Amino acid sequence: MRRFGAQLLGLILLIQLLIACGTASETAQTITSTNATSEQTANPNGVLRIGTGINLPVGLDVAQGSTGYNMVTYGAGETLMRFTVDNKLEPWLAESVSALDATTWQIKLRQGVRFHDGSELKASDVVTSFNSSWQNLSAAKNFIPADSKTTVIDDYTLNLSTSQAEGSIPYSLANWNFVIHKPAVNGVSVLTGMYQPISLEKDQELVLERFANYWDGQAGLQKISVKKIPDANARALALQSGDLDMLTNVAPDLASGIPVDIELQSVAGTRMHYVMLDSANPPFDDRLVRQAITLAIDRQALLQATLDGQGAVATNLYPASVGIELVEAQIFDPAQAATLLDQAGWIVGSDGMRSKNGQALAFTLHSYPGRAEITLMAIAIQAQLKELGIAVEVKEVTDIGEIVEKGNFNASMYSIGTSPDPQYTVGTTLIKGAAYNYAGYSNPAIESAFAELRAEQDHAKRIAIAKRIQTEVKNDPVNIYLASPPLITAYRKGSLSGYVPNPNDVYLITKELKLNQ
Amino acid sequence: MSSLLRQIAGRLLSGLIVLWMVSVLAFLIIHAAPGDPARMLLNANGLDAPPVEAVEAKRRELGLDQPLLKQYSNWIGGIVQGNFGSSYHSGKPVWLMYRERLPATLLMAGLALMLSLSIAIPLGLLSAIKRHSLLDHAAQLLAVIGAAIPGFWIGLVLILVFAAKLRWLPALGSATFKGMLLPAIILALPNIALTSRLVRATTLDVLNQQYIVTARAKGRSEHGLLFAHALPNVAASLITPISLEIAFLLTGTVIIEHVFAYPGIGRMAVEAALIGDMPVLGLAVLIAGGIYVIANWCADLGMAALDPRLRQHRQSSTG
Repeated sequence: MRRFGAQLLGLILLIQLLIACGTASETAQTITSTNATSEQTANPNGVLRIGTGINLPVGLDVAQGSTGYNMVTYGAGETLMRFTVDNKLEPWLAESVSALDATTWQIKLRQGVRFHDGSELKASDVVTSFNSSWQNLSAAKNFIPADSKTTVIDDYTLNLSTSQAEGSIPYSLANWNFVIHKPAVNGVSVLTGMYQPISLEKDQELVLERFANYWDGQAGLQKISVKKIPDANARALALQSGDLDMLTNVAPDLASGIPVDIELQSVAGTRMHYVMLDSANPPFDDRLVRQAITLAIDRQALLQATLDGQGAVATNLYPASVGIELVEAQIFDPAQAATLLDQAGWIVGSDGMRSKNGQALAFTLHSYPGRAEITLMAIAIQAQLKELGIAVEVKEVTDIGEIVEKGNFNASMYSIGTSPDPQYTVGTTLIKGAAYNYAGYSNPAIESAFAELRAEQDHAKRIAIAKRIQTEVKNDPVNIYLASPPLITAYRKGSLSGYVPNPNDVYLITKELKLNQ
Repeated sequence: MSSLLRQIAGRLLSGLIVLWMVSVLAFLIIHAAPGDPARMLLNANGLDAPPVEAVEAKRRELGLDQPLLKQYSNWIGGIVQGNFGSSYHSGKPVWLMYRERLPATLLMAGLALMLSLSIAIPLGLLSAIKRHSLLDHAAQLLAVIGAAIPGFWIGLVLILVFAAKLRWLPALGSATFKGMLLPAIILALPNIALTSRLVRATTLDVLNQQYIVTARAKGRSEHGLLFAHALPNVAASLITPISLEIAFLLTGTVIIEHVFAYPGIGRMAVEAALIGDMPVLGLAVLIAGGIYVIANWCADLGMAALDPRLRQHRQSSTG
């Protein structure tokens, strides 16, 4: 008995020792920015505590992985251009970007922009930053070719020359792969944003504080703490309990159950959910079948069933939120869909299902669990197409990339982030050899229009070319565009001011955002 | 003495064999899981699919293009030499990641153990003494609830009540007393349920033993009987379940840490599983296996120390 008591006492002492060790280790596990310069005065607006389910950056070097995305999102990083709330392109760190000729763009920099280390942004810094992006970020060259030449004209002017005409350069300068930065020292890039990162605990918390010398005046918050909370329900409860001030990427189904004292801001994002069809093989090698499927899906019903009615339905390759004039091509018209299938020889049998020459009209629709609504959409599509006599087998796989890259699919759910640049979505999904054209689709009319679009610098003319491409998408579809999911943000009513929801989730934090006392 | 050494060596060897088998199984299961770790790592932020050439380069960089046997021998060979590798995701040495996170998990498991023992033992004893009373029935109900309801669900309910509604405790876990109280309670609940029933059953069994009846007949008080005679015997029989309980507490933190966003090794293991970070996840499985092996050793040693019959048996077999 005495021995048992002694063991218990020993255990208590051990736990107390561990408590001491744990407290000590709390401070040891952070990456700390060496560039941080603390402010002298405290901001009464305090700390904005954000909860997110999205991964935090691995480090504070924007030349690694998608750290640049995180840094722009939380107000630490900036690009030369940016998109407004209504997706208009506007200069940010640049004062202007103008075409000198078909292949040369002149960039004039805003004067008085300071890096977090206190130095002023000069044209040579932009050259260094671009070289760092091309060297380290594999996706950067998809936006601005890596063989482009940069020439410093003076401290605030540089020319960017491409080997062939690239009309999308002003748009590409807004991409987070081109966050303006000085190469990392001790794993921390030097940036120019209104907030500067001061610490990062892997998978736990990113802390930023206001940058006193920000070129555009003082930002509204003293500090920002971004915590990763994996469980969506726990995140919502933490907002209710007052442990958090703001939630990002709230799931639509959770949003409907949030109490009345929580304010929700929902905006259709620039992401596009769609179905890729294997146009090289039956049954989708028949253009009539592809056209019929695009007309057979009730997208509004999909949205209601899977996203609580939030977000926006898609009718062509551009989401409505990116601000490109749309040609409504893929609308719900089951009667026309049935007619097209009849024309193609797929006749309804006694069991209500369609077949041709004894072959049933059936296919497998691959899906993946990365986004909660994707497989739900696939199941809803399965039910809708059954009404038309098409048998669909839904197969969820963990790694959809493995399936589509091998071209091992009839049809597959997919989702990409799009851009207000009309060239981007065409160039990544519809052109032969494009990054997401996994079926090897090729349409000469689209190829030729894309070449024109790529060379054109005038915005109005680019939009006109994009309309021609959309018309061709209507005639010869390879992707079934479904919907843009919503970006939902939540905070306690009256607790924040200056928050403006942006369809581009990369602009979450703005200078005007502040906490109300 | 040589027999004791032989026993210890035997235990050590069997423990190492178990750990080796765990390592093989862990490695095979992690590699059999669907999904290409290189692609998952490159797309960890849920942004767009990485270019094929970037995926291939990442596979080469991580050595995932090598034959499976070579990958396993590199991994286990490194561990044997004290090199636990680096995280695929952050590039950080795995041992450093565990050193940072382990104290938080040990703290929470320690608090959960204290809660579990300080509630379960008195509750079990009282249930045995006041058999078929209201308290006994209430304890039985608590045991059923504690054993049957999943921890993550209770976790969310307790966050709702104590954090969102009453605002007494934080909704998010942290390595402070307040920050780990809710997760520790949830972690302790199944153990309270099981241990209290075990204590009750063992106490009733001991109280019906002949020597207790004799002591009672000699006029020993019930209080004296319980503390001087029954409790040491109950304690001895609890050594094995409590050792395993400690192992369960340390390994059972995975889901609780996930729900409470608690900065421990359980959450780190879940994050590693989601992105296929083999060096981090593999070590988590090995550590879990090691905890159970050590728990069994401790149970054996504890039993030998507390149970005179085992000591006598050992002495008679050696002498």
